[in-house]
Amino acid sequence: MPSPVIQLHGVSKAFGPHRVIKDLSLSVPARSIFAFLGNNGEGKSTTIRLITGLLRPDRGDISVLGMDVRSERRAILAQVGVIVDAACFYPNLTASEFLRIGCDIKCLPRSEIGRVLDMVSLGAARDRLVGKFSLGMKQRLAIAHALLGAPKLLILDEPSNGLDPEGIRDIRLLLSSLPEQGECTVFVSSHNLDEVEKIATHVGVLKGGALLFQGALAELHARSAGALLVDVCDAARAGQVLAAAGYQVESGSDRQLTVLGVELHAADRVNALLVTSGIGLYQSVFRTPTLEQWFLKEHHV
Amino acid sequence: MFKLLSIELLKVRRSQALWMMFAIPLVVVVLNLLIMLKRHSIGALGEPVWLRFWINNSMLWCSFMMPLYIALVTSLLNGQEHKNQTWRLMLTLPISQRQLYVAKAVLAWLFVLGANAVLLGASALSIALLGLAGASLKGAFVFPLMALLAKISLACLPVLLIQHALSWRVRNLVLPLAIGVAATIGIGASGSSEYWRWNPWTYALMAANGSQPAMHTQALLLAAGAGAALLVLTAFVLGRRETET
Repeated sequence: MPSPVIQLHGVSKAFGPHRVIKDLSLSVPARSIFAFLGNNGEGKSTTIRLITGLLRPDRGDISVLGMDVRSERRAILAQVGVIVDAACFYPNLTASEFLRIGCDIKCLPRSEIGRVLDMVSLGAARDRLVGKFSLGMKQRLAIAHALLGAPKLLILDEPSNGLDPEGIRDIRLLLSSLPEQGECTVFVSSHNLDEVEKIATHVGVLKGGALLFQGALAELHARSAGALLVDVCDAARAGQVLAAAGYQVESGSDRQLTVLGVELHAADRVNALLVTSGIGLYQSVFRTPTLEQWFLKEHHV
Repeated sequence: MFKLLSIELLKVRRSQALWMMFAIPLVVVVLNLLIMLKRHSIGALGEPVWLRFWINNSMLWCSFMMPLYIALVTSLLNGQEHKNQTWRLMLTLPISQRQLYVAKAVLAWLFVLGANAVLLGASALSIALLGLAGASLKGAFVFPLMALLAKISLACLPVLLIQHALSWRVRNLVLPLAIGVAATIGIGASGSSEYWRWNPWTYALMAANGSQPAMHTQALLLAAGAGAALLVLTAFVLGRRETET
């Protein structure tokens, strides 16, 4: 199994008396799309600044691409594309001049500029001043800057900010294609949970500066309590049987009911209970909670 | 470092700082030109007037406009990064904070060199134009142009580094500019006293227009020493800081 691309071990960071990150340990697998989630002020941006070496941790170790951030920051950043917080620009430069900054510092050929502009559909705007760009165009340009040199790791803070629906779809397709095309791992922080759920393979959820969950999205779904929709010959009797067994049941029609708060592995037990009770079972469908539903439940909203 | 400097030069394209490099020295030359033409008719212009024109230009520049220009240009160069929050962009690229600090200091110094060249070029051009209008050019270009340029460019280093460090650290333009203005006002008082050595803002004036040749050398040596010490100290201290807290 390849070693993690980002690894944080026991990391803490405080600003004065305010502890923002509390003993955070995080592991981002290679070639994954890792969604880093949390409400405002939970420490997402601080974590990203720690990973990119903009801030130094008070305690703990951070390694990226197998290198220590403190001692090998420049070697790491040569292989990483980053958007921290809101995208930042020089409004007096054209798009291609702006990309020359990253291109020259990373010692890349100038042909990279055309390649990344085409990737974000900004090829036609390469000679326009960035100050005259719309918010969505600026966001695409920031992504183009992060993509310079085909980085092994992309760290993106709110990449879909300011994008229109078409732009959001384009960026989603672009990001989801990156791990397949090469060795790229994508670490993305976002508030747009629906979008994240469409592309993420793994998630990490911050709450109060500590990690609430990290792992594969499929694992989160499997562990989350969902709802089981069952079609039976006698919904009233099925409801009595399930209620007696301790399940929370919501009746729908005379042939349909919903079993609430069950995990995926419990679905088999419900089905078996109905069948052994002599109730005809026509169909049983497990509905996984969406990432947004899970997130809101965990944050008691 | 050259690569980073070329990037810093790219970043100032179409910027206000670039316009200031031309505009501020031109103001000095035009002002002195108008004063000269008010006092003397074109036919009366000759060697002593030309010498006075050169001295007036360099004195007004060194004692007033250049310190203000340095405060302004360092504020604009660093303010561009503060305003656009592009520190984050730059420092997530494989360069160190210290390299960026030094590259920006060198860029600010290039802007001072550029403004000095504009001042001297505009002075020479205005004399040449007056020559075309009929003025006698005898003794008009004997003032040691290049030596003066070299002296004030070196002598301004401590002020440049103080203003650069302030503008690098302080997001608000007002504080570095206010310090620049207050220190410039102080040049008049300390420049004519024996304590001028304690005020780095007087070094350019003393190096270019000091009443004794020993003052020129002293001002240059003080400026070089203080400049080198300030560069090492500020690059060490500011390069160690976290970029955002």
